[in-house]
Amino acid sequence: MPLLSLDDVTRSVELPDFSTLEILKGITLNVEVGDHISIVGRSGSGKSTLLNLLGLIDNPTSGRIVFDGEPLEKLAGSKRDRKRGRDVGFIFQQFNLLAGRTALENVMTPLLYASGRQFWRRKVIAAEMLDRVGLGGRMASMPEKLSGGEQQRVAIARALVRSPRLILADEPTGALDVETGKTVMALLDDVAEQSGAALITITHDPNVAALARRHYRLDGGVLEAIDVRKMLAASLPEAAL
Amino acid sequence: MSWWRKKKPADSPAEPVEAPSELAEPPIEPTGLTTGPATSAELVARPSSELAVIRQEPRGAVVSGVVGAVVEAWDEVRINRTRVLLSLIGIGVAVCALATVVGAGTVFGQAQTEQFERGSGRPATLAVYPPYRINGAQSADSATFVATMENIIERYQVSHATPLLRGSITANLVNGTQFTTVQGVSAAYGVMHRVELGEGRWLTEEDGNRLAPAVVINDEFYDALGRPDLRTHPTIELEGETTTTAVVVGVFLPQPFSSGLTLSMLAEPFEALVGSAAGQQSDIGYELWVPEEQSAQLQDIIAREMVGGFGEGWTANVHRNDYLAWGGPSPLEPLQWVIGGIAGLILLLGGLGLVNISLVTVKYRVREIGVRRAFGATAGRVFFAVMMESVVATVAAGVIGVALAIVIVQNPSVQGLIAPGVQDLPPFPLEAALIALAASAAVGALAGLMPALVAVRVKVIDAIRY
Repeated sequence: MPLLSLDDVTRSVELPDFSTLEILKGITLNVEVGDHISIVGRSGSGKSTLLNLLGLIDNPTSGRIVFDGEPLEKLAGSKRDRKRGRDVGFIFQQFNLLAGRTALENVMTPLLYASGRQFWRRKVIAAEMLDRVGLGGRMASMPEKLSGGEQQRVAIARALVRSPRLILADEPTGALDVETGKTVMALLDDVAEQSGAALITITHDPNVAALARRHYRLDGGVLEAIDVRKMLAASLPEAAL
Repeated sequence: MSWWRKKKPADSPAEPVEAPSELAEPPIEPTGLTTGPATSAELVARPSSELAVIRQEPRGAVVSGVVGAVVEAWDEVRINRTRVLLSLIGIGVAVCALATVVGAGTVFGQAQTEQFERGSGRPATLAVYPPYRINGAQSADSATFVATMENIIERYQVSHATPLLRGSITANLVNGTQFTTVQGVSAAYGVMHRVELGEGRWLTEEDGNRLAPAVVINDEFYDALGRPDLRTHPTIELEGETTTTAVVVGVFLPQPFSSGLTLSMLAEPFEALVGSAAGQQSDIGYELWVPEEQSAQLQDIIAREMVGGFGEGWTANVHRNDYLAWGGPSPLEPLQWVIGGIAGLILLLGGLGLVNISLVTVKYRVREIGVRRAFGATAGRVFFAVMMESVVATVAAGVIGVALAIVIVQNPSVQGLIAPGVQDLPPFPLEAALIALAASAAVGALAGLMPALVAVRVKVIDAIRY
């Protein structure tokens, strides 16, 4: 049974002139436990909308989404929020670390919504997680005192601290330079693999997408599997000549 | 070859990523991912049955939810302390004002109460006068009346009772003979009427043993005597049915109006001095300070005893005399309404300021709220946390405000200003502190309501991409 499955999912919105804009068209996708999928697409292709659906944030207009054997329509309100907190970890392009809080406090944030051992031992768990991403010595640092790569590593630690089963990385290297992006992606890939969590990377960068085992392109709201080698070859400078 | 092309095949075992030496970031030690205490990596790697146990919602989820919301709220207050501090100055001042006016009102109320008690006695004071006949044909025998009253006081063990004897005498002073009003009471009268003295002391039981009776005179009398030092035991020659020399032991506080020369002395020397003048029905009476809950019953008993002592046809003359027996609302009620109104208005203004600041703050926190929602914060939790921020902050301001109010109200110079001469200074009223704290929490909840509603409506992804 797949961890997450989307079956002929569409998402459309009504525009102010009462016309309908179809953002996602017939998306079908199965995400297995431990899977690593990349989804590339240009701006406006529907990546964010798809992210909302994958992250249990939004509902499809039609089609069916099943997460961990439970249809999305059965997960309503706070039940869905709690499941999202427990099973989905988000990594954002702009890191979105909470200002005024140390790296440790940022990693502790998701554990505030946990219960039992995870809640009461949140400081110890967060510290261990930071240690694992190589920031054991920067726990008391404020986000603005950290480099971009370090900030994204804090964000990775935060996304993984509740042991999610699905990690959604939205342009994880978008705000980083190439070298830092490499390090961060290597770390994310490793940590996801070690934890057995499925990783979905949404990006416009074919190099980042190539790290995944399965590759998709979202174009005009349609999701299609692609050959990453062709995509990379097309992106090389000499191909443009 | 590009770094991303080093990606291992899907079916290959997990291996550490070789970080190129030229990387800007410090190297990651992949071995650390497989060792150490249980964390995310290990939890997920465990057998599914164990994982299922860990993933179950513990019974303490509600407790951790509430604690978590309070921790979140406190963190927010702590992190934004400067902003919070500035926004809460208004609330702190308002709560301080509320607690101060309520506390000061209590002290002022006590002063008013004491003023009433000086005039008519403490609750419950029973005033008893000789019985009378309906047709007024015959006056009651004062000796029978006194004997009946002394009997009642002794039998019912009334600890605070005083005869009230009034008469007039003359005092021989340096500038001639002066008409003087004299009052005969017991030592208990001083406690029962909260007697205030400007100089010296009130009468005591021991004063009854003096050969020269002790007297307490009013300020006018003291002036007429030339304001001698009481430590020199100044004396006055008094002329009634007999002539006696009295020693001045105390002087009443000056009164705003002239009442001529007056003095108070114990009942026994009074009878010797004034004699038959005290036999008039209007000049003799008793006051008894009794427990409020027993006053009605005792009133009936006294009435029955009087009729029993004097016989059929006599009507007892006993009534409750203290200010609480006047009927109608408490005389302090209008004052309490005015004070409460002012305090409420102050708090309302402080609360409006807080609502304004909280709303602006939430607008700035849209992204943070979105991040929290993404990490599992339910709408209820966000609502509760934002609301709690406001409540935690206002209660903290309330505690400071109340502490400040206690310092103000308990300050002797402030007390002297609002209630000069008050005898039983009340402690800072607990209800003032509780009202102020409850009001601050309520204002916090009300002020937090609108920002909390705004926070709940935040759309997660829109907020993150904001």
